Order: sequence, then C-alpha cells, then structure tokens
Amino acid sequence: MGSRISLLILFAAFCMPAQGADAGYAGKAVDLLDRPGSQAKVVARLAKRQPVQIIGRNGSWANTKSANATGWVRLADLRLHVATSKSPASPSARANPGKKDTGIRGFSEEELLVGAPNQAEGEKLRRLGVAAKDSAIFARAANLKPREQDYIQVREYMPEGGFPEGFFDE
Amino acid sequence: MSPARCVLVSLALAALVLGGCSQQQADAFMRNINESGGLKQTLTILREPTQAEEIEIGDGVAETLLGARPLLDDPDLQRYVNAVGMWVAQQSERPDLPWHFGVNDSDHINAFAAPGGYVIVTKGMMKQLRNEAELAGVLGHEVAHVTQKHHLKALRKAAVMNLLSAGAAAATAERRHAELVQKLSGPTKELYARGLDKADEFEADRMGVVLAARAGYDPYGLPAVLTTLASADPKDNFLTLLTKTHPLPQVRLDRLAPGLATLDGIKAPQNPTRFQQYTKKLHVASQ
Repeated sequence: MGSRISLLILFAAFCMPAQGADAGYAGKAVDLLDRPGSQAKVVARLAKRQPVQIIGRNGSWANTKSANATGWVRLADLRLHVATSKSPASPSARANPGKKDTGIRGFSEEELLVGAPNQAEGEKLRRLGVAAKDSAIFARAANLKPREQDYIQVREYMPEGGFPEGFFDE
Repeated sequence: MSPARCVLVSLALAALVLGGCSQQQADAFMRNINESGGLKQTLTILREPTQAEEIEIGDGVAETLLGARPLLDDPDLQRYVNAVGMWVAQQSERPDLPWHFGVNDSDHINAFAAPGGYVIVTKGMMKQLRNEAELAGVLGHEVAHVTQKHHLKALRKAAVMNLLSAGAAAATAERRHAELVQKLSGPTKELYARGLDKADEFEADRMGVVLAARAGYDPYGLPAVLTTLASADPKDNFLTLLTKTHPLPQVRLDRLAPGLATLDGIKAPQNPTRFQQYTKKLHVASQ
C-alpha cells in the first residue's frame, strides 16, 4: 500500500509543469511545511478545498502559496483547477441536445443515440492521415527518440502486500 | 471446399458449439441457422474477421460516431494530431493499419477508438491537455483499444459479423456500405453509450503509457491527464459520458500506479511548445 501511494506521488510530480504557477486547492486538510520532507516543521494548515498557487516543485513536493501562508505540501494532496463546464447546460440544452442556442457542442449519450451516421464526415476522416515516414520526420523534429520498452504486465500490477481491501470495488 | 466436405465440417462445428450449450441455447443456435439464411452466415459469426472486414466495420462505427458530432474545421490541428498519432501507432504491434485520427467539434471531454485504426478525440479533451506527451498518452490509450480489438470483440458479441455477410448480397459496393453502416448503427450506439469492460480500459491505460514511452515521450502524459480529470467533478456536464463509460480517473490511476515503476527513470520530452502552437486556435475560439 505504501509503495502504491509513493508511486502515485511520484507520477503526480511528473504531472506538474516544471515552470509557472498552477492554481489548485487542497484535496484534504493538510499541514503546510517549512521544507519538503517528513522531518520538516509545520508552519500552517491548509483547509480542505483551500485555494493555493503552486510556485515551485521539488520531487514529489510542491511549494504553495495560499492567502495566509507559504509552505510545502505533497503533490498528491493537491488538486488542480480544471476548466470544464463554466456553467451547467441549461434545461433547454438538455431537452434539445446539440442545439446552438447554448453555444455548447456536445457529445452526450443523447446526442450519440439520436445522431444518424454521417458518411460525408467519414470520408473526411478517411482522407486524414499521415504516412509513417512523415510521422517519423515529425518526431525527429521534436527530438523524440524511440526506445524499447516492454508492456506493463498484469503481475506487475500487484502492489507489495497485495491489493488493499476494497481495491476492486468501483 | 466441396459441398459434402462443407456439410461435414459444419456438422462437426455445430456439434462442437452445441456440446457445451443448454437445450435452450442449442435451439437458439439452430433457429439462427435457419433464420439467417443458412450455414454460411452462421460460420461467419463464429470466425475471426479478416483485417479488411475489421476496417469495413470501423468505417461504419466512425460514421456513426461522427453522426453525433462532425470533425472540427482546423486542418493544421487535424494534421498535427495525425502526425503524433501515427508515430505512436508505429510503436504498436499493428503499425500497418490505415490509421486515421480526428478531432471532433465537441466541447465534451472524451476520446474514442473504432476498429481498423480510427481514433476520434473531442475538442474538449484537446483543451484539457497541456503538452504533446499528454496527447501521445491519450492517443496511445486509444491505439491500444484498436490493437487489442476491444470494440471489435464487443461488437462481435452483438452479431455484427452476421450483418457483414447480410450486406454482401447488395448489388453495388456503395449500397453494401450504406446497408452495413445502417445496420451497425444500433449496436455501435449501444456499445459506445455503455462503454467497454473495465478490464479493457485498464489494459489500454497500461499499454498507452508504454506506447508513448516507446515513441520517445515522457510516459507520464496519460497519468497527468488522469490527474487532471480526477481533479474535476465527475458530475460535470462535459464529463458525463466519459464518467459513465470509464472507471473513475482516480481508480484508473490507482490501477496504473504499481506498473509505472517499470518506467521509472525515463527522462523524455513533453513538447509543450509545439503542442501549444497547434492548439492555440482552440483557446482563442472559446474566449
């Protein structure tokens, strides 16, 4: 279980952009520390959902600035702000999915179910495509270097000590 | 195959199939043979589709998905997504499929794969991504659905192969295609509204991060996207279909985490600059 949490923290660290201040909030009530690491001193406490700016990163730790304090917190304890719907669809949008009056262009279950197959758009999609050799040139232009990498095996899925209780409950 | 040999093989096959069935299932099997016009169609259901048939089914599935929302009119972006997608697909076990990637004009956050090499990403999903490694991770996930034939296998359960052979009698290729698409439409909608088995989604996650890594990208692109989605409200209006058809992002992250240890230590580019160059119109249009 411990290794699973540490891995989550590890890749959360990779998820964060190296530069720039990301906006987010505390995923739970958590101590704010004077430096990264478990030996650090507590300087303040973030309340659940308290907004923060992420002003730096050190491994799996984020340096955050909130309204009343600055300090370090584990990246895994933060959530990023996500720009999805600015406002929920109006009742008319739900009743008339895909109508332009809301400006929302959807792909809801309703729109999927009522839509008729579109052969002209299928033709357009079939015309889209890039030759393999051109994709390789495009990759080299961005300094991408292909590497050999085995697929992750299911047995490598098993965390040390086995899966915790409730892991399969979704 | 001679008619006599064909009958022998079919009887053997029927015995094989019926051997493990209840009486009720056996009756249904024989009824299907009679109602579907004969043995040929029934054998077609049982066998593995050829690659040409897989692509033909994919054509129909893609047209149904594009019936819900058309492609986005942004040729530069479409070409960019195809260049990245084709490069990722080249790292898979099926590089020679006719891969086609498209961004559709939907604000919802989602991505879809269809048999034969089709991948559609919504504009809403593109706007959530921050760099090319994240795009490669999403496309890698969808490419894995195609290479593992997840949708094809699910559609076969809906007797789609029977539809293929039923369409074969049509007089012209155009007519045959139109009939196939029409008949595929119902099973396609049902499948894409219900979603794949969760095990298929977890497998596509495991393979997607590796395909992105093989392509030379930071393999944490897909986990980064899942982190972004885990931060959103699953009841968000633009996430409803994704939430209904996939395990929750946090669950997918939990499942992926132990296996990511095999990718430790890879330092590879994320390419935010090139990604932002090709996607800036998306953000301008939404202001």
